[in-house]
Amino acid sequence: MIKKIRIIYLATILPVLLLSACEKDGTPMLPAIKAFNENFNISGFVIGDTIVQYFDNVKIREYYGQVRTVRTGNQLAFTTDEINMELKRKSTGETIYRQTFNINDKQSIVPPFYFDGLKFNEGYAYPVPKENEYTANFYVESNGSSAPVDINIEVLEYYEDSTKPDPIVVVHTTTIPLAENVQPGSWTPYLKIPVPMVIPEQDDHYLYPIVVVRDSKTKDYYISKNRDMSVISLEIPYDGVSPGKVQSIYLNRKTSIEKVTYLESFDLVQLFPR
Amino acid sequence: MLLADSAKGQNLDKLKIVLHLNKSGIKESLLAVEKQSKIRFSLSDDLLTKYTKSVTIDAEDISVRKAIDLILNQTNLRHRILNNFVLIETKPVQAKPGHVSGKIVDDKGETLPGASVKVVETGAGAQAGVDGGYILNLQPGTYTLEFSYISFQSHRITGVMVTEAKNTPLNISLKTDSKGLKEVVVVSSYRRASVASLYAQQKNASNLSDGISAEQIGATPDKHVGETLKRITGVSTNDNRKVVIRGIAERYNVSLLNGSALPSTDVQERDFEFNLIPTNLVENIVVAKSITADMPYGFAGGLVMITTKSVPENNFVSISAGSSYNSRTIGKDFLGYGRGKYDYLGFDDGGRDHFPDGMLNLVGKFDPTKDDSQNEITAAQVAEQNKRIGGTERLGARRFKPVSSQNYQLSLGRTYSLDSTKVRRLGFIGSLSYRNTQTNDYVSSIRRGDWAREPTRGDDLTDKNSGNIYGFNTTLGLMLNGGYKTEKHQINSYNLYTRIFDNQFSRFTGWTFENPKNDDNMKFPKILEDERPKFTDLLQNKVSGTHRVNSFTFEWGLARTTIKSVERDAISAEQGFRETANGVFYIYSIGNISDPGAGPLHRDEYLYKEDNLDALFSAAYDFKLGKTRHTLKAGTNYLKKHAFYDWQILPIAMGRNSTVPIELLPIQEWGNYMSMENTGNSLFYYKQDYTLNKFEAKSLNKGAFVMLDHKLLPGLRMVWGGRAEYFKLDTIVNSASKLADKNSQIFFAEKKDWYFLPSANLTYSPIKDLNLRASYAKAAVRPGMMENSRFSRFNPNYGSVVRSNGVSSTLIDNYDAKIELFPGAGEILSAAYFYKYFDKPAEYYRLDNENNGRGYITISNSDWAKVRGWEFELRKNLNFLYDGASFLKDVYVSGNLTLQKSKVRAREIQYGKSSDGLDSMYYKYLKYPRALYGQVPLLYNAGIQYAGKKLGLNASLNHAGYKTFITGISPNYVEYERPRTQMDAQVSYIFFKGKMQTKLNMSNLLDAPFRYFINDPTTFEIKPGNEGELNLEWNEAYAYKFGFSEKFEEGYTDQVTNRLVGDRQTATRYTGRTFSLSLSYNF
Repeated sequence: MIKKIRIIYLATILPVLLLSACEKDGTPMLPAIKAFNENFNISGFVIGDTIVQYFDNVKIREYYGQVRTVRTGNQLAFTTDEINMELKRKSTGETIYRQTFNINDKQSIVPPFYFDGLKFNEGYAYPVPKENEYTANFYVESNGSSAPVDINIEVLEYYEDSTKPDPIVVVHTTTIPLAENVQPGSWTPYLKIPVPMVIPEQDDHYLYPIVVVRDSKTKDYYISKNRDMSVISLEIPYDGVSPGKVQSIYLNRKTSIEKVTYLESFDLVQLFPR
Repeated sequence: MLLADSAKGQNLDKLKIVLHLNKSGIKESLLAVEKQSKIRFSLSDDLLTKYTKSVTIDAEDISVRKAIDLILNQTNLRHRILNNFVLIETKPVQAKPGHVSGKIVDDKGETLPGASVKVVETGAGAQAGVDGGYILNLQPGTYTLEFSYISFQSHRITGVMVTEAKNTPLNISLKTDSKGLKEVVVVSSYRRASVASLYAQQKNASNLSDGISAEQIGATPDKHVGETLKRITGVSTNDNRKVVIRGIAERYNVSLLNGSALPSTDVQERDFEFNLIPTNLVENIVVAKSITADMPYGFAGGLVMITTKSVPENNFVSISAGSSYNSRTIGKDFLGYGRGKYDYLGFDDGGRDHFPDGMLNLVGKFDPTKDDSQNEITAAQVAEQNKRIGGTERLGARRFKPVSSQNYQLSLGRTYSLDSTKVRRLGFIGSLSYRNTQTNDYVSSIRRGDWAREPTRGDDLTDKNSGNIYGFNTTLGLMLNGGYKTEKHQINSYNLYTRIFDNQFSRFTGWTFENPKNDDNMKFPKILEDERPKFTDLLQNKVSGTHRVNSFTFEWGLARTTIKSVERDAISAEQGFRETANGVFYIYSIGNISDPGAGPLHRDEYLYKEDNLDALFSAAYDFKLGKTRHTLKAGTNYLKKHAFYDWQILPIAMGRNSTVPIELLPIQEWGNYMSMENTGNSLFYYKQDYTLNKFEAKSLNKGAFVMLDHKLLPGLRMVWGGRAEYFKLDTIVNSASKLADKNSQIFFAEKKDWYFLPSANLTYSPIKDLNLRASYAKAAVRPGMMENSRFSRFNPNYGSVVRSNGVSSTLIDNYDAKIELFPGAGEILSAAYFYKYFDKPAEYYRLDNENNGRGYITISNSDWAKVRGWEFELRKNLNFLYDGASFLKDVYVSGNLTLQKSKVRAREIQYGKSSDGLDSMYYKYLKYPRALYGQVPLLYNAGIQYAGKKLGLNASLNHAGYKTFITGISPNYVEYERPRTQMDAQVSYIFFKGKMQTKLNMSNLLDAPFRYFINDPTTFEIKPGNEGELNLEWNEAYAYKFGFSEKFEEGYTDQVTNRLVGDRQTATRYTGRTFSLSLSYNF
């Protein structure tokens, strides 16, 4: 009988013991946000290796190519008084830049940087234009689909015929080479851009100079063998222009999420104004 | 051991000695006697040292026997003369008696009150009570029992083994003595008689039924009825709650506990938590699949009748404890809102009490952008109301550590015999149980209802909607049954109280149909949270009686069942993202005073009460016509239901121009900004009622029946009759819960109040162990009261609002035929065919009358449905395989298979104006039939069971084919559940001579998910020539594309459009593998 009572007693208190360990409040899922700082800015350019951005040791995003502050990313949310940001080389994990932001800072700005895959630089260095000379260097992104390229000025001679579906009728193209066999993965030297000197064959013809990229081997247009898709925006001098100009053109053949191949290009001189 | 001589029985009495002992030990005293008497003793030191008795004797002339008796008095020792020596030994232990008990029935399964049972060896006997039950108390041993009754052949059972303090079950059926008074005694062995009795009830039942008895349940590791039901042929359960019988959905099945209907524990769906009833209190579970006129409740699939014990065979106390581990719950975060101190005990600590009486309705009376002079209700009044409602401390999801499920049970049974034959008995049985279960179901994908139907880009793996459903359930159960039995009378009382705290917290992350993913403002998913803490009290009290007076049997029952279910502080909340440079942060959304409806954040209370009162009475008269026996039975029944439903919705809102920085305030602190001192800048409970928020309805169901049971030729039985049934449902208050429904009406008028429902069952046994059965019955399945309410509510599991269009009764014509063969003891082979015609079947539809592309789920009547199917069952002992392996006699393989097909003529409700300009409604009937809601065309169970004396092993496989989950007008609304196979296994072992049992249950070993899909419009195309045609039915206008059909096809991503072409996987839910270990001990 005593044994029986003991077992019943045990069976009664066992749940009580187990239940006494229960939590009531738990740990809230959402961290309390102390403040939003709406003046965060980061800008720069990355080639050669990817940069990984960490905030308080949490990986947030990766940067390659142009780094800029998008509308939704111009804030910092402070859950503590300070936020530590680290930029690391993806290939090695090495921290290449570190900055701390304080909740009381009026602005949280990361100085513009240029990372060439090896060295983290504050700003991008480029020469001063010589008189009225136009120069440009080129960088073709090295990825699985890239190939050596030729960069030419092509002057289109055309007339307009509004009766045709495409009213611009090109009758003749004059090619002026700018750079030949540009190898992906390294900058070319600064090359002089000539003033394209072409005379139309007929008076009612017009001229339109464009800068296009072609595959060095096949001589096909670089993007989908399509001239218009292979055009880059490089400013060409015209006769009598003054002063000169320096351009640093980054080119990357990419495929959009809609599976369309396109040419991404940036002029780093414009991204890093003096 | 020491031996001596010269001891003889008479010497011990005659031989006198002088003995002086003063506080001597037993050994010392016996040695003194030995020395004085010169008689040699046999003594064991080990034995004597166990006793510390001190002996004092001062006698000059005492016989040796008297001296030994005095020395050994009050010890467990005795003396014995063995070969002229005196041997001192331990007294033999008096064995506790055991019992033999069971029921005595005739060859048609009718109980035989007054039949007698005699123990051949001792001459002891007993008589069967009014329910045919008997009990014999016997010393342990092996006996031969003889059962006899006037005009029946006596049946002698040999080898009935009675073990100490245990019950030996033995049900017996006596055959009619067709040869008159000549004494015939049938002799069979205990084992054969006992095992055969397991199927005796099914074999002898007048209707088609399958069942499981207490003996069979005892051989399984099942702890509660929810686990046991799926062992019965043609029965499957969803989450131990919804019962599907013969592939027919829960709506068409009825569950009775001790003859009274069980109310649903869910307001908007029909289900009952069968796991509330522990198996050790169950006498039997019978699932009737055909109808006799004396059944007061109509059904189409089956009638689940659970009978609990009232007077136990013997006294018992048993305790059990168990714990279980779920592979998807333990080791992961368990999310939920703030808990109460007593959640583990099933009670609220007051922390969810935010619904005071007399709350002010602010609709049109308060606008925070206006000042008090322009508002009917002042800011101070709103502030006071906010204070009475209370703060928001409980809000906001948080992490908890999950705890393994635990369950404890204490059961007690007592029986008191009031006469020497043990027929008149009084007894009770009680059980107290506790269970806490925590579950974490992972929903890997949800694309139904309000959720986005497909990813914006087919190859974007991050564009998915997923979440978890966390279940926290505490159940307390108290059952107390008692009864009084005599030879002719039996009165029982059944009382069940259960308290359930069930808290379901669902948290889904994803993009909605209205706001699919994009790279701009919908870059990251939303989070939708829904918590429903529900406290349910269920109380059922029942008194019933059976009285036999000469050839009459009277049965009556009175029951009251109440259910009260309160969802206290149910919360719906939404979180939007805010992307920053250092991460994506989520913020709870708050309502605005211009929001139509409840807005993104509201806390609600839902109170449901239902009172059921049911009574039944029947009288049966047995009579003979020549050599044939007949029973005339007539009776009446009455069931009154009264239901109430109240709901309160408290949106949390702020004014249009409020500058309260809610993004910087944890939601738990929002309550601190409700003082209304700065009216435009405060948060407040924006109670807005457009209706009374109430539902009240009464229903009355009464009927009377006459039934005739003819036992005609040997082996031929016919039961036929009819019942007249009245049903009336009145809604007293029926408020709409959606503003849009405020001016809509519900049509649920029954065609007529009275129905005549005939039934007939024919059983013919042309040869022994073979039954041929045929039956017909008409039945009416009645609508639930809430099925006719205008209440609608978002169900997070369906991602949709669930509402009603009004439902009326369904009339069903059931036709059944079955062949049963009982080849050996406990073995069965059967095949059955059924056909059912449903007039106005009620089905769950997905409709989109508002044409918003999302639709909602509703229940309404279709025109008709026809269901036909086959059902097969096999249970076979494996002993026949090889005689040399004795364990095979304890191995059974079993399986059952249900194949069925259904056709429905669907209809669409249309609204219009009659010629006199009044609003009217009519139906548009669809030409092409489709499958019935809830139908499972293929269902099978297969299992192998070993039931040894100590070790039990069981493995089972349950497969359900495609199931119509929610139906609709065209395939892109119809949702199916994909085939699912579940594998379970159990191991049980008995210790301590049967006193302790351990059971290891392993369920869902394959972690089989529940998967649902819709045939997406990308899988079908318009038939040529039908372009621009209006008013065509789907089958006329469309055809499936090559490679697609009504079944599930995953499809592919179109490379050109980057869109999925394939069936839409609407929901996939994983419940995990569960391993549970339980221990039970019987005193």
